[in-house]
Amino acid sequence: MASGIPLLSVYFVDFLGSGLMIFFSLAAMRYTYGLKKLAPKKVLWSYLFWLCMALTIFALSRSIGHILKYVFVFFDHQDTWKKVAPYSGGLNTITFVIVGILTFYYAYIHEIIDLFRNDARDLASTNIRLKEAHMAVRQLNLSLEQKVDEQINSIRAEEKKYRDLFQQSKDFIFFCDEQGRINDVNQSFIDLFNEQKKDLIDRPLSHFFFEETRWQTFQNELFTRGFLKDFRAKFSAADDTPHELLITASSMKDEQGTIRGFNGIGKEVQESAQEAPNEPATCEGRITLSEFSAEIANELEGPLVLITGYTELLEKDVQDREIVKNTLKAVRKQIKSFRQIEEELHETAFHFLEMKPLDVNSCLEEIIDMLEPVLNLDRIFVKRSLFQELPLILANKRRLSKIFFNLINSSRLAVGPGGEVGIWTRHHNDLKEIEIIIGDNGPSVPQELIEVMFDPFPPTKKHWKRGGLWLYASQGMIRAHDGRMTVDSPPEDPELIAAGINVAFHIFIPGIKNA
Amino acid sequence: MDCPARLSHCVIVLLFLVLFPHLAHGVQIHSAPEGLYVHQMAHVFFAGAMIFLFVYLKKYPLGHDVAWRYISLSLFFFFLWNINALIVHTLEVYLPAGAIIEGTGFWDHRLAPPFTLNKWIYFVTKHDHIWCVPAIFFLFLGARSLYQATKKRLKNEKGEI
Repeated sequence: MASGIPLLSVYFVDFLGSGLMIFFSLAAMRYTYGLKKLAPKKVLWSYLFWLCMALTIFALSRSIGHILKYVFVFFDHQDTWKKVAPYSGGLNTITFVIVGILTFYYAYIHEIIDLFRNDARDLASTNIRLKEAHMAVRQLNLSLEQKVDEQINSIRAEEKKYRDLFQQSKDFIFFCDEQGRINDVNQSFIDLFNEQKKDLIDRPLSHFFFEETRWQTFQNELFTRGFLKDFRAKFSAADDTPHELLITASSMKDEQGTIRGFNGIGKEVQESAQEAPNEPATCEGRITLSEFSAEIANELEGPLVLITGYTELLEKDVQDREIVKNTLKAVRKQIKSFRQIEEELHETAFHFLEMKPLDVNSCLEEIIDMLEPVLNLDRIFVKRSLFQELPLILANKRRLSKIFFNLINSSRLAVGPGGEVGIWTRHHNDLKEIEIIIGDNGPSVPQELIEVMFDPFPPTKKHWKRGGLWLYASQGMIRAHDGRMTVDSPPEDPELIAAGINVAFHIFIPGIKNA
Repeated sequence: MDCPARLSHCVIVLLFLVLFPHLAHGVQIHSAPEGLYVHQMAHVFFAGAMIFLFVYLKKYPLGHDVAWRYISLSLFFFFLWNINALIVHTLEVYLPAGAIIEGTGFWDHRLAPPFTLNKWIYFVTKHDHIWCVPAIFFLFLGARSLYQATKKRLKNEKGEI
């Protein structure tokens, strides 16, 4: 018996293994092919099919090669096997390489699948958003026309409401451009002036003011403060019929704050209102009453001056005629009585003023702020020395503001460009009152003029420069506040002298306990 | 250099190569061991591919069902088979002449003494089907499981519709 290890087991395993390889590789390929058929669009199954295909080719080539080897050797055709063997081995080598390439390529396939998956996810998400946007746009399109109609109808209704209010209002309403030319008026305005609307449009509102000065006051206050309330003015119609009007007006500004015009609403003051001075319904009504009494005084000013002047002349001419002289004395006495009556009329109006606690410093600051553009324009420096712990006073803010406004404005006019205006507030604790000083470095006022400054009808025109009716009215108003008003020129106060003040108005008003 | 000048230089080089062929080395002669080397390299490539896919599927699993476990096992056995084949092909080269005694039939073929370690390893590794048959078997199981699972899923989906 020959020595050595028999290789029969090797051949047996090789033969049987080759058969099993052929069987299982074909079976695996069948299932991967089935997978590819079930889901032809799935890339992974296609890849698995081709991987299996390569392994099957490898298994078939190797196994068939091995089986053929045994067949050829068994039938004693070893030479033939030697010729076929390199082809079988070469085919095996090729299948190894294909399997390797396909396997390494799997990673790329996997990445590509991930990319596709992410793209598909993004696409789906975009699609959903697109659908939502489409639905929103569709909904908007469907309702847009309806919404536009609703908005238009709403605007039309609003417009009609305001148009009706404008046209049917019993008060007259007007709109003017920044130069004061009328843009639009309502029917009441047309009826009041008895003119065609086309004739009213583009006409300057100033043409309707009976007095040029009232127009200037109207314009100045409106453009300075931005509004006017219950401004009283006399308007003249085309037939020169005067109309006493009460106007409330507001300036109209654009987004940059530039005045683009103004509008106003008002009504004609009825005779009955003028005839009932003792029954004012509101504070504004009382102010109108005050102005009304001032108007009466103003109207009578000329005749009174003339009568006084002629009386004095006649007294000189008839010094030797005692009877006439006595008669003239009686006339002068009646004039004096008349002035007392007028003064009482003022006080009656003031009696009804609505008083509230007022911080004078704040009030003065507001007035200065209001006048600042004008003061700056004239390069007028305002020196302020306001006592910080000033007690409150019981006052009518509107009236007191007007007094401060007039006093500062009077100083402005007196000093002219480049001048100085000074404002002080003080607390006299001993007298339990506060003092407001408004002065300027304008020309000093002679003593004889100071004596008649508070006279409502000063004897000559030069006395009107720094006093007259407005100062008289202001003094009356301060009295209505239980205060007093004085003037000194030049001042004796060292602080005012040091500040270069030549004319100073002093207002004293009782203080109240701080709230 | 402009295009016509470059073309003329190319023509000159080609003419030189055609007229003097004994200087050319373009066609390499492939001697006998080259086939074995290529085959061994292919085994290395195959083994590398199997272990690469095995690790890749562990890292980025396509599923946790049994099918992918079968496929992973298949890859592992293919890897082992390639290592086995590398060893046996190498040992075949180093076996001395007459190491295998060939008789009249298969049953007479023997591994001749003396029995060195190389010969024992050669004998064991010659049974390489113990690796590649399980490899192809697990591939078959994996493919079948995937097929059945996919078929079932599609059937359910159709049923739901």
